[in-house]
Amino acid sequence: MFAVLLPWLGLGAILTALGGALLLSVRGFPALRGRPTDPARLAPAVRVLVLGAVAAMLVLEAGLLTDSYHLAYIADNHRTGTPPLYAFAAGWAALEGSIVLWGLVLAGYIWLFHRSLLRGGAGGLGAGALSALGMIAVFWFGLMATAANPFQVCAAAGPEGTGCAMAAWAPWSAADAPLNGRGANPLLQNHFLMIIHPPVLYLGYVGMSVPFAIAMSSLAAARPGAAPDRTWVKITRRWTLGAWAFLTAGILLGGWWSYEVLGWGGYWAWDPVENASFIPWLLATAFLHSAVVQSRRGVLSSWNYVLAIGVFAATILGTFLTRSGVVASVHSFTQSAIGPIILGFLIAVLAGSLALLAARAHRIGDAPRLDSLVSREGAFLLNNLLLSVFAFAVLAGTLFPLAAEAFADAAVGVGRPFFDQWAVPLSYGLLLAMGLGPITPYRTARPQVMWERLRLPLLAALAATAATALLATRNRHVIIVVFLTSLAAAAIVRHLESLIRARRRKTGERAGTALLRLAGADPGYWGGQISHLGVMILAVGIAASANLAVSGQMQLAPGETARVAGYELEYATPFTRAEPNRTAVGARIEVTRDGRRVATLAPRLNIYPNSASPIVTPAVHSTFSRDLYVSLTRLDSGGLTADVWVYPLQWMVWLGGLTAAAGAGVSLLAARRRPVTGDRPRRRESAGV
Amino acid sequence: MSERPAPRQPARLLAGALALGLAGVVAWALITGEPGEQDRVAALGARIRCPVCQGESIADSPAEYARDMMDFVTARVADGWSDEQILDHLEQRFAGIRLDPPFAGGTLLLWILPAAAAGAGGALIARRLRRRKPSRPGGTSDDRPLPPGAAP
Repeated sequence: MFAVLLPWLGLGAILTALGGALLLSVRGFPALRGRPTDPARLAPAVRVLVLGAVAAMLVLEAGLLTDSYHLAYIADNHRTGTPPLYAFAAGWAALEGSIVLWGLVLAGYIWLFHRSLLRGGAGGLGAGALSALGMIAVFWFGLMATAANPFQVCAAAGPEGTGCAMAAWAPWSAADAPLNGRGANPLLQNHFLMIIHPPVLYLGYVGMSVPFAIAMSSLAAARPGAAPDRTWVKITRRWTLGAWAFLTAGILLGGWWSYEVLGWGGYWAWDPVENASFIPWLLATAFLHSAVVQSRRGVLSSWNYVLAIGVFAATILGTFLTRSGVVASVHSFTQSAIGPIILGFLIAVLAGSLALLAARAHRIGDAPRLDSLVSREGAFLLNNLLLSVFAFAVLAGTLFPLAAEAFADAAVGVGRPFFDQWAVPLSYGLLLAMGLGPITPYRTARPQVMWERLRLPLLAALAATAATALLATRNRHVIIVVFLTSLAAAAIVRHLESLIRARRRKTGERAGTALLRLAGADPGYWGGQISHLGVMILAVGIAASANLAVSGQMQLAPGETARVAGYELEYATPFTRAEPNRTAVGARIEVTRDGRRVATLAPRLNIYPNSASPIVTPAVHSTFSRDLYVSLTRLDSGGLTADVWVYPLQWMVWLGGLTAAAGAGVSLLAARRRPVTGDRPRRRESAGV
Repeated sequence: MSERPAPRQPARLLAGALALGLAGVVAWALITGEPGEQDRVAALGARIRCPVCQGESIADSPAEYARDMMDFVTARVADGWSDEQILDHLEQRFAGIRLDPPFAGGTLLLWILPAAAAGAGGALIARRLRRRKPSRPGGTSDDRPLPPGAAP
C-alpha cells in the first residue's frame, strides 16, 4: 500500500517545492526592482520550498530502501540485495535522482541564506538574491515535474520482470511492479567514495548559485542613475568560500574514486566531465581572489560580475555536458532528452545576466588607478589572468570536438597532450604568483622591501631544489615545481616570522600567543595561506606522480614472481568471494622489497549480475614515499596479467587537495564569527569613470 | 612593518656565495636533467585516443584494443617510422584519433583561441596601467585599504 502511494507523494513533494520556488521568486521580485523587502515576508515560501525538496528526496530514498519497483527510476537503478548504503546512493546514481539531490542542495542553500538574512546579513541585497534563487529553483523543480520526473511509474515491466520497459508520468498509469530492478551502474556501487563524491560535488556546484544570485540582485536593484551596490562582493565571500571548499573536495574525491576504482592507474584524465567541474573551480578561484582586490582597493568591480556569472554558467554547462550525453565520458552514466532544456537554460542565464550587466556597466564605478604591476594588486591580476586563460583553454579543448562535429562534421580529438601543454606553464605562473603575491605590499612594492622579504626564502628554495636535484631526481618538471613551491612556502613562513617578531617587540607576548593573535586578527588572509599550502603540497604530488611514476606489466602463473620497480610480486593464490551484490574474483599477491615482506595485495575483478564485463578493482599499497598500484587485466586458471604502477608521493595529491579545501573552511568559519558589516563607506562609490 | 636588520658584511658575502653555488646546482640539474618524458612509444601512445574507450589514450587504457594499438605503434617505431608518419597513418584509419590536435589547419584555431584570450587580458591590464595617474611615492602599507576619500 505504501509503495503505491510513493509516486503520488513524490510528485506532490516536487509540486510543493515548485510552488514554494514560484512564491519565493514572485514575493521577492520587488526587491529586484529596488524596493525594500522584509526577508521575514519570504519565510513561508522558503519553508514550503524546503519542505517539498526534503520530502522528494525522502520519498525517493524510501522507495529505494523498500525495493519499490513500480517507480520506473527504482526499477532501472536499483536491485534487490544491494547493500543499503549503495541502495541509498542509488538516489543520485542516474539523471532524475541526481536532479532531486541538486534540488535538495539548492533548497538547503536557500534556507541557509534566508537564515543569514534574518540575522541581518546581506543588507538590502538579500531579498532580491532570494528571488533570483527562487527563479533558479523554479527551473530545477520544473524540470523534475516534467522532463526529468524521478517519480514516473513503470507502465510495463521489462523482460523477465526485470527493470522497466515503459515509464509513464501519471501515477495512475502504474502497472504491476517489476519483480526486480536492473541495478545501478556497477561503477557506481564499486566503492564507498561514490556515496560521498556526488553530494560533496553538488554542494560545490549548487553553492555557486548564491554568489550569482547576489550579483544579479546588486545589478538589478540599482536605483536609476546610481551605481549598483558594491558590498555584494563582501556578502558573497563566505558563500563562495563554502562552495569552493566543497567543489575542491568534490573534485578531489572524484579523482580519488577514479584512482581506486577505474584501474587505469590515474586520477585525472582531462575527461570532458572532469573538465566541466574544473572550469567553475578555476573561475571560482579567480573570483575569490579578485573579490579581495575589489574589497581592498576598489578595482575590478565589473570583472567580478563577469566572474560570478561565468562561474554559475560553468556549473550549468557542466550539468549539460554530464547529463546530455553529448560527450563520450566515463561519466556518461545517463543520456536523455533533457540536454536541450538545460542548454536552453544556460543560454537564457547567460543572455539575461550579461544583458543586465551591459545595461548597468556604465554605472559600475571602478577606481581606475593601479599604481604599479609590482604590487599585491599586480599579483592578483596575474592570478586572475592565468586562471581565466586556464579556464578558457580547458573550455576550448572540451567544446572544440563538439563544435567541430556539429559545424564542420569533422572528428577532432582533444586530450591530455593539449591540456597538459596549457596546464603546465600556466600552473608554473600561478605557483609563482602564489609565492610572491601574499608577501607583496598593496599599491607599490619597493624593490628594497621585496628583496628584504625574498632574500632568505630564495636561499631556502635554492637549497631545497639543489637537494632534490642531488638526492632525488633531476626531472625538469619536478625541479621547477620544487623550486616554486619551496619559494612560496619559505616566503610566507619568513613573512609570518617577521610579523610575529614585530608584534612581540611591541607587546612582549610569547611566540605562540603572538602567532594565534596575528592569525586571529586576519583569519581570511591566513585561511587563504592554509589553502595555498595545500596547493603547494598538491603541486608537488602532481609533479611527482606524473613525472616519476614507473610502470610495468606482469604475466604470472600461480607461484611465479615478477620484479617491477624494485618490488618482487609473487602470485600466491587466486580467490573467489561471494558478496551481497556481486562476486569478486581476484589474486593474492605477496609483495616483498629487498627481501622484506611489504604487503599482501588483492586486486580483483568484481562481477555484477547486471554487467557483462567485470569491473576492474585495483589494489593499492600506500606508503610515505610511494604507492604500489596493481590492477588485473586478465585472470583465469592459467594465471594472471596485471598492470603495475609505482607512484611516488601520491598521498600529497590527496592531502594537498584536502588542505586547500580546509583552508577555505577556516576562512569561512572565521568570517562567520564576524558579521558582514556591509555598508562600511567605500571610497569613490559612484565615481563612474 | 619592521624588517630584519641587515646582516653583517661577511655573513652577506657568505650567503651570496652559497646562493650562487646552489643556483649552479639547480641550473646544472635543469640543463642535464631528464626531459620528463618517457620513451618515444609511451609518449606517442599518450597522443593517440583509444577508439573503443571513453576519452582515454591507448597508453592509459587497459583495454585489449588499446594494447594491440600500442603493439602496432611499437612495431612502427622499430621499423623507423617518424611520429608524424605513425599519427597520419592512424588518423586516416580513425578520424579524430589524435589527442593533440595538430598546430595547423582547422585545429590551429584551438591553439590560437586561448593564446588570444591571454593576449586580450594582458592588453586590458596594460591599458589600465597606462591610464594611471602619476602616483605618490610607493607605500608599504600591507593590508590596509586607503581611508575613505583618500583618492588622489
